Amino acid sequence: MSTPDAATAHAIIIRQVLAGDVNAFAWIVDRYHARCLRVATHLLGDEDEADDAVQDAFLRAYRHLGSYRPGDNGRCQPGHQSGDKFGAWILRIVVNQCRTRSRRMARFTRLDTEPSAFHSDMSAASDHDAAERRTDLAQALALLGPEQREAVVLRFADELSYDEMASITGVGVSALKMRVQRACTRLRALLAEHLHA
Amino acid sequence: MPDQIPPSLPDWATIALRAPITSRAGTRDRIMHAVRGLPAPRRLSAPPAAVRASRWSRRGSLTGAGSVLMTAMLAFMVSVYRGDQLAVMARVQTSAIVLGDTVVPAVGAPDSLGARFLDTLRIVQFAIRGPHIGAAEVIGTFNGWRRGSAMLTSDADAHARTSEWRARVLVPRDALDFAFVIHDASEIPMRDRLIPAAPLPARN
Repeated sequence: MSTPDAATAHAIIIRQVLAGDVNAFAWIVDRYHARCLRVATHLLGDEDEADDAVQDAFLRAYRHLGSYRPGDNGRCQPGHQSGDKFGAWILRIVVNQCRTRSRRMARFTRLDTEPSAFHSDMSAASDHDAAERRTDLAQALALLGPEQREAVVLRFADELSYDEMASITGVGVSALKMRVQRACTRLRALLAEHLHA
Repeated sequence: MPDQIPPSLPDWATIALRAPITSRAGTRDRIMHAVRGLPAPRRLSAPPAAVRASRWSRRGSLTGAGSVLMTAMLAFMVSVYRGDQLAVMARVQTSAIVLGDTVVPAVGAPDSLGARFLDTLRIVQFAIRGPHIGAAEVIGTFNGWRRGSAMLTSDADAHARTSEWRARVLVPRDALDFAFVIHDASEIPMRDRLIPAAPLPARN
């Protein structure tokens, strides 16, 4: 999305919602739901939890839409697909929701010890190997610590720059680089174990 | 694509991470139904100065022209306040004289369990003399540095240029530090602002 047009479109939509046009919020849901769901699913490792987290995030975004300021995410890079500030704002809410739910989920023991493979659109191709690899990836992500998982998901699943990640997570760029580095090393090792097992 | 990074994942893993996730049916309608049940959001508006102050607060520091302006204003206010204090201190003369120990026998009935002798207190006369003193008081460890508990009074004519203000205060023996407050310009307690240990020598 080109940044000036996106900013104008967002400004118009936000103005309409704040003026009382609830249906205008559907445009925001349509535009950002898939992206938020992808990030939440990888962060939580559970599709149902991710769906609920994204829904809560959108409700929270709606309630606090009046406090959104385009300058709040000043680190976003213009011209980048993920560089729209409103998207980063919503993603920050999603990440916070996922953190809360992740802490809550950590108190309970999963009955199914293996996280479910995500039902992506690729599964329609009925590629058995690809499905197995996605399962391996989900299991490997589940074995990462929450901070490393968050870093690697935002970096690779959402293709964010480190500056954007910093504005979303509130963590410094150097710390994020370190987390991504360690997460990649760990993921490679875990995936190698799974693939050779 | 953002800046290239040295750490990377296998291509298939990156593709799997970026693959869209199929959402449950009716998710959009469910969200919009929940949204319609919420009160309409309102734009939070604040004065520009408050927004700038909020940004300074979030950053934790002042930068740029704002910091220079704020520092200059604070320095000016401190210098004016301190200059006023020094000017007042230069004009007035102060004294604190121990008149003697108190002879207050006790609080309450002499034979009650709640009786407490107050003979450890001293009578101290605080005095201050100078021009244009409209109001003065003394604060110190004896009154917990609280304002308004030990006001000085003056017998001078209201039109007199120079006046002398006095107050006699019961002071515990271990309460030594004090300061005068004149027209809200308080003197900073200094080392020589100590109540003398010995009472005033008796006159023959």
